[in-house]
Amino acid sequence: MDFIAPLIFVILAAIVVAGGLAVVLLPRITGSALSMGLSFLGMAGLFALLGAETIAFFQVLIYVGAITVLILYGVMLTGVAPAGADRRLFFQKQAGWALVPLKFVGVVATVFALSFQSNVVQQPGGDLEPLANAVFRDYAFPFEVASVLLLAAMIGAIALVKRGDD
Amino acid sequence: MSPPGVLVPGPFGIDPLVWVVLRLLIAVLLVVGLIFNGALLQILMERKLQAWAQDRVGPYHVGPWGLLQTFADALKLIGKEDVRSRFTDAAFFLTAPAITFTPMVAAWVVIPFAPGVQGIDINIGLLYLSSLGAMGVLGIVIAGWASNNKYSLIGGLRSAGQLISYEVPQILSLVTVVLLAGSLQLTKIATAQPGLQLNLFILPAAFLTYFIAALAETNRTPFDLPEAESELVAGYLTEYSGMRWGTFLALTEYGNVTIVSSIMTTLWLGGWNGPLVDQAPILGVLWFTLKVYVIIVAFMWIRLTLPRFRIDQLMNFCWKVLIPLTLTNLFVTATLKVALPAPWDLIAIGILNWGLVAAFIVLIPRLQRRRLERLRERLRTERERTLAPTA
Amino acid sequence: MNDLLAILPELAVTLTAAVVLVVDLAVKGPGRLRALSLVALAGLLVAGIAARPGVIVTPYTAFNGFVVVDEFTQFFRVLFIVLAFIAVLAAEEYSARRQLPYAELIATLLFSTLGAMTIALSGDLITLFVGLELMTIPVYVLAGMQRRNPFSNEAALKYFLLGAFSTAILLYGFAWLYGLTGSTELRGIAAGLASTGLTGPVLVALALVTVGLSFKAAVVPFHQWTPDAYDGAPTPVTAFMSVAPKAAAFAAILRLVGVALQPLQIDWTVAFAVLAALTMTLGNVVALAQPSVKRMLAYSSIAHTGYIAAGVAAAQAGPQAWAGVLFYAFAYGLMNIGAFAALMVLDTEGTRGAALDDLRGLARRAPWPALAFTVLLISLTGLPPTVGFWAKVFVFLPALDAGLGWLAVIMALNAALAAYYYLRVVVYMYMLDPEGAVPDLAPARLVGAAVGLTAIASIVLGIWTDPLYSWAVSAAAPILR
Repeated sequence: MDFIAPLIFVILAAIVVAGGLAVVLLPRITGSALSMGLSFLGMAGLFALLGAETIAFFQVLIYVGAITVLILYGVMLTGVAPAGADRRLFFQKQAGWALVPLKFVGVVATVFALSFQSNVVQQPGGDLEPLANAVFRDYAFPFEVASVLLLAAMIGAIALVKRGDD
Repeated sequence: MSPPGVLVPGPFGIDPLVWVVLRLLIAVLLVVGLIFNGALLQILMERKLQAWAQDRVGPYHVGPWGLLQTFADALKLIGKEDVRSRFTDAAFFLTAPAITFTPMVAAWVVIPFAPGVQGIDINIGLLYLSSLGAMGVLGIVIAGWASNNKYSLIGGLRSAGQLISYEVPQILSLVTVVLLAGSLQLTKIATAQPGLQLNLFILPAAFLTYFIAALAETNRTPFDLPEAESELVAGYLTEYSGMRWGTFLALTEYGNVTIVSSIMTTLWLGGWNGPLVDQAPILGVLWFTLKVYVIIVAFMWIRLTLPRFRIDQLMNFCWKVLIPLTLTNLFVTATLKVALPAPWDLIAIGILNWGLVAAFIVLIPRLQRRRLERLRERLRTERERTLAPTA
Repeated sequence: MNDLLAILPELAVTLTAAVVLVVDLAVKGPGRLRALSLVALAGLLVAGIAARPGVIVTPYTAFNGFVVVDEFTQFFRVLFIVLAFIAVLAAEEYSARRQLPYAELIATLLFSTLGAMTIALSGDLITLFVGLELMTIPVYVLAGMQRRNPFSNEAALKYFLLGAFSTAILLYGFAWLYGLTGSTELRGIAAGLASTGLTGPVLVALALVTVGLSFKAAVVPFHQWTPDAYDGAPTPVTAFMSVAPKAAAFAAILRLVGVALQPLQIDWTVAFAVLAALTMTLGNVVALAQPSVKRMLAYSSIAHTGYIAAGVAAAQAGPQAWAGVLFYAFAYGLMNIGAFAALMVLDTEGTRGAALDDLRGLARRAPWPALAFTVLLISLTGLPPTVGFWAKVFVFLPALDAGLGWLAVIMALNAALAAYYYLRVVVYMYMLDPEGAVPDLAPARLVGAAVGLTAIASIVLGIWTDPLYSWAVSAAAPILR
């Protein structure tokens, strides 16, 4: 009976990992963008599995629905990089190959050394209320400052790319 | 959402494990059946309505009164040869219809037809619907790109721009209703409107903005730029044919129309509420369906009446009219809700909302006329300037 | 409600930025720039009144510990508001001449000020970080406001890349601190560190945080972005970004070192003393060789960072060391923003900043701005009777008290070095004649007002030093419990 949740987890984790690998390995950037969407979708599934449905659907709404589409939009408008451009990145690639195992070992070691053992009990009412309380009550001030930050960044971006005033 | 791992035994002593799979199968078949029949019915309705509006008869050859026309069309689509251009991107071209179709199917899970007649009553139903609505864009963009065709690409990109823009007023209008109901759960929102105390009467401005945004989200006229025949052949649909085209156009489009109509029914029209529902809950399905179809007919009516937007008008209308309007509405509603005690807040919000609707109806044509005059003025001066040196 | 009252100055600044954008939309015609300036100045005035000294008597914690309002906060709030005020004064004519998008410039400047103020009031790493981002991201934009100018683009890009990089380092350090102590609140971190003591991971966190904040404050060897960013950015922006982010970085350093890391009792002295000595020496030596006054001021601002860091290094000398830091930050802010504003007086079309040769004979062409500029340069040199002199004294004495005699010697030598290049500018203005024809100076009443105000302030505060210094002492008190 208890094998269903782990089974779903394994499937979702496989989707996330496969999507992530596809982002890196696929030759076409459009394919990478779409696989990223798939990976995000898998992440949303993992959130839902953990009982955080609200976060799961915000993940879908923002990452799959908006970010992936924006990236696709950007890819289509900017065109494809000419072939052979990645030869210049040769050393970056080598460094990447060296760093990835290091980081992997580091992360795994940290996880096992710290042995996460949280006993978070799932709230029966879902995670909507805890989330709202956290954002609008407990962390209200940094949240509002962050929103002002986004506003400032938006105004700045528009000021930098707006056409016609010079 | 029921926690995974909890199994319920099925009826007739079916093993719980088998029942999980069986239940899923039944649900999917049910939904697909609903979508198919809905699409068939709505296409026929649309053609008949168009015919009457244009003083024609409409389909009448197949079946009595043309009733079986769309069945014949569907059979024809399924039987068609599967044509795909050699230069299309195979993988994406084939998956794109599925990417738009799937979220639409998934959305049916939470639609509350009547008390108890609902796939699952999750407490974030509205968020679920919004996020699935946002996913459909992906398929359209991919379809446009994979077709390897200029018209398709432009159609796909237009659609992405349009859908992302109109998602903002759409969600802001939903939030206004959620503020009043105090929940994202669809059944709670529906039951928060007892009798004639419909949200339609309290929040007409939110209804109006949502209705317009929903037209845009479902690519219906006057927002059907992604598939504008006169300029883009058929937009992102250009390279599609057969049942792939059918999935895209007929099933997804009409399914989405049904879903946004269901959302409007639940949020503004009291959902399944109607006479005698308390005695026979199953009557709710009837009321719900009726209300949904009233809205669908309104959609078709608009298609019959209005010409298509131009792309700059479309964006201007969204960012300069709809978003400020919805933001104002949200801000005012939230303030009044906090500021006033129980019955008075609804009355104040209602008065204000009707005011907003009136302002919208009065001001938009006036603004439009002024813009047009300014444009003509500029054109005139420019023409005079270009003509002057030659004279 | 009390929580909202506690952040009244911040609310005023935010509202002003919003109103500026709306006024830009509503007002057309020739009076637009002036209207925008007036709105911004009025808003800053209101914010300044809300943040005036003595309003808050006891430290007040608001928003679940995210906000701490005490005398320290008030001090920096007033400093940032004053700096923004002067920057707005100095920006209008320059923006009109170079056709910068003025409303966006003012709004982003105000947002940056808001970020700096948020840093000053943060009682929590989250607020601190968000404030830091809110301060720096608008400045990246401001640096690139002159879009057709490749130097401006270079400034923006360099500042953005290095700034983003240093932010990542800082955030990584914060993550370590949180992981080690289980708290993001500064007092919670202090409590956590009190129990762990100085372990290897703590050291990693400290190193990351120090490097990150040193980037923001432009301490050598993390200063490389400074000259190009200051030089390429539009001058009013340079004026602002050379002072406010620096002061805010030191506010963050003091909060972190004084509150969160206080139980470690680390000997910060050596590390900060070495950094300070390096910073001031390198800044001064390179400044000697600069033919462009704007670039010279950029390098000299690095040198001033060194003096401020010296004050931090002298922490052992007791409260007056950090009072010295605060006083120096205030004085430096006034003098430096004034000096950049003075450059704008002789800004003409087609020049990038001022070359030293452009300044020849300025005293005859524009006597009053030249006089004010001279006062500011004397103050930056650190000669009496200006505020710059007292600022140097107030970091010099604690350095001696803390037993950092060698640092004091380096400071004195550096002051002499600085005198050479600062006073060379005065020589060019007063004693040399211009070569060939000189372009007319554009009328610049507002910039003139900004320069005059800062020059008068540096003399007045130089003679009547006590109120500011005692305020700095009381502002340093809540940090040093």
